[in-house]
Amino acid sequence: MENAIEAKGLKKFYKDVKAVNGVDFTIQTGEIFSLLGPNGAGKTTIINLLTGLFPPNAGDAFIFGNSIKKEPLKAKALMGVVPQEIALYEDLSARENLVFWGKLYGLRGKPLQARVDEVLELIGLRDRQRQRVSKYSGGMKRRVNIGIAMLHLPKLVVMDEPTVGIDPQSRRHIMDNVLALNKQGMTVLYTTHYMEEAQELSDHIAIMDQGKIVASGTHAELVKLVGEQDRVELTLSQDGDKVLKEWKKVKGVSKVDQDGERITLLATDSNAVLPDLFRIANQFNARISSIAIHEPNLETVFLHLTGKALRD
Amino acid sequence: MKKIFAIASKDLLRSIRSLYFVGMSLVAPLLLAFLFSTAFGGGDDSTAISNIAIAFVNQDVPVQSSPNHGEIVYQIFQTTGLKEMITLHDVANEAQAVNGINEQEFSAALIVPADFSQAVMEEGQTAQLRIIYDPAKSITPQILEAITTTVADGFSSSKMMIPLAMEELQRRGGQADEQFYSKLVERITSQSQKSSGVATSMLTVLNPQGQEGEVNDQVQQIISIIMVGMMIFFVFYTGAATSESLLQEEETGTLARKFVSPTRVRDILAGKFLGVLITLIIQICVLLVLSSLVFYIQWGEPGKLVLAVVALITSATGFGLFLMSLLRDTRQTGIVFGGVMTITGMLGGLFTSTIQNMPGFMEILKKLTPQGWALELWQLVLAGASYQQILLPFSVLLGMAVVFFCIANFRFQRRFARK
Repeated sequence: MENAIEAKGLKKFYKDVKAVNGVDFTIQTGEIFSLLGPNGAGKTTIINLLTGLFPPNAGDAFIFGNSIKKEPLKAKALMGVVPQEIALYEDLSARENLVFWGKLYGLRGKPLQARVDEVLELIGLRDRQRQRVSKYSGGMKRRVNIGIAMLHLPKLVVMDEPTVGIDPQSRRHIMDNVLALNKQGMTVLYTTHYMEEAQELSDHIAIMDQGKIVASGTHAELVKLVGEQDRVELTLSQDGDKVLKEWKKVKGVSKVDQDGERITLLATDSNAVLPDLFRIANQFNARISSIAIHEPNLETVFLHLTGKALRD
Repeated sequence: MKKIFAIASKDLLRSIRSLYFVGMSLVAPLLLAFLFSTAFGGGDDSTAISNIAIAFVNQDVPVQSSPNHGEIVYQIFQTTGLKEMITLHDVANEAQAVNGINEQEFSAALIVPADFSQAVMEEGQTAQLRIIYDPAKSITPQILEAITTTVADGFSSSKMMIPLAMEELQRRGGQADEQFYSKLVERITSQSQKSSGVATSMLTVLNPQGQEGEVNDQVQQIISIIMVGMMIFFVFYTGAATSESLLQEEETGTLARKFVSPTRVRDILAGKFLGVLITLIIQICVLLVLSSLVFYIQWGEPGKLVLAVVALITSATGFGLFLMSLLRDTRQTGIVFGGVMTITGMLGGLFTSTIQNMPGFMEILKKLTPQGWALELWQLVLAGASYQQILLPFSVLLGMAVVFFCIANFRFQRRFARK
């Protein structure tokens, strides 16, 4: 089967910052591929390189065989891009926005108008198509933002964190849209820092940190990487530096990460290590105010691979 | 090409919908036009630049056997061309006239002193007419002064010519009575007005009835020069304001979205540039038509007018794009609108266009700004200059436009390619 995207040795540096530092991956036609990672991991930079917004310092990417460096217009014509920020003309209506962007993708006349009608139906804004975008809610704007990328029926849809900062209902709507697009045969490249989204949507997931892909595979393959480890989340009522230092020494605890009062650790058998964790906390007069034990998931994988929790 | 037009038409639609644009490019010039119209005593559509109320105080005491020269002055103001513009109201004395001015009843007063006839008749004496005006009105007194100066010139000519004419008439056996004398003065004065008007005319002015005016030329000259200065200022301002959309789009992410579409960077920039150009064409057309309707200005020969419009919009577009290409983001645009546009407008002479004989260094500074060259070109077109005469400012403006456009294009291309 033809590869939708083939990235080879992509690098992008900003002065001393290695935003993307030698990334290789392949996305097969028809799959949903997620790039999962915390903010600053390099996800958006990869999207910007793949969509030709700016050139890589090294490496190349091929969109259905078209080099983004040598044949950028051909490659771009095959893609529909949903940027992270809402990029719309607020003083134009949804229909006017769609018509304008459709023209930039080469649509004209009746086919354009017909396609705009279809997209408005799909994003649920047919009734309010003549209203200016400035009057829309955040969720409605997001839907128009996505609708633009679907106008020219691209073979590949690239979505950069499309659910950031929106209500759960709109988020659900967007995720359903992604699945619907995929069912229509579109390949989807999706970036997110929400583990649940990647888990629900993706056929393949690449986990990114500090400009590199640290692991890649299906959800099941990735979870296997951490073996039978549980992820234990605790909240300490006071500064826990000394407690954490001792917890790291407990047999069966492999990783410990702290974010303020919230502490995340990996344990091979959570039942076995919990008594020791409580005992050490007591020794330092620290109070554990909450505790949660999670089965292995992508969060566990990320902690296992990077030593850091994958936070919102 | 279709994508370029798509971008340009979208920008035009956004401009037209923008209250800021409509306010600055159309309402502001119109508002100023209205203020000028009011200053001229207009306000009513049918009486634009007309019916300026002037108090007339005739204190003249004629010498024996001579006509009342104060009355002749009054009659001159009743001639066709003048009476439509200035309405004289007889007032008993100077105090009443001043009171009327204070009460806003009159824009100014024309005082004929008691010794006026005597001064006109006797050799060696100087006849004087006095004008008292409302200091709040800057233009009406100028109009009255201009007309009165012409009338006074007529009297001066009469003073020299009439004794000779009377002598010749008597030599031929004719009899000169008071009516003959009055008619002679009136005709000489009227002829003097015509000569004066023709010499300084820059425009053809039609009165509300569509007839050619005789003495409105000087007034129209003032209005047209002010109008041209105003129009050039606002066209350059709009050029910069619409060019700002490039920076705005960069910040809102729509420019990046265009870059990830299958559209070349040069086409995107061309579309943006064309959008600015079309916006300015619409603005200038609206201003030309409205100023013609409000002030009855005929903007000269169509061919030359088209050249002036082309030079103005290309230079304003180039200048606006050039300025925006120097800025990092929209937070810096205040410098352009508050500073650069105002200062270059001032240096270009847009706010002092009615002042004659500016210092030499100001004339040099004027030539450093596109606004200065635009003003010169438009003034030449209004004055009916030949194609050869307008060639230099036209070429300089086009040259400036090309240079500004190239610099802006280079800077924007580099800016969007270097990330």
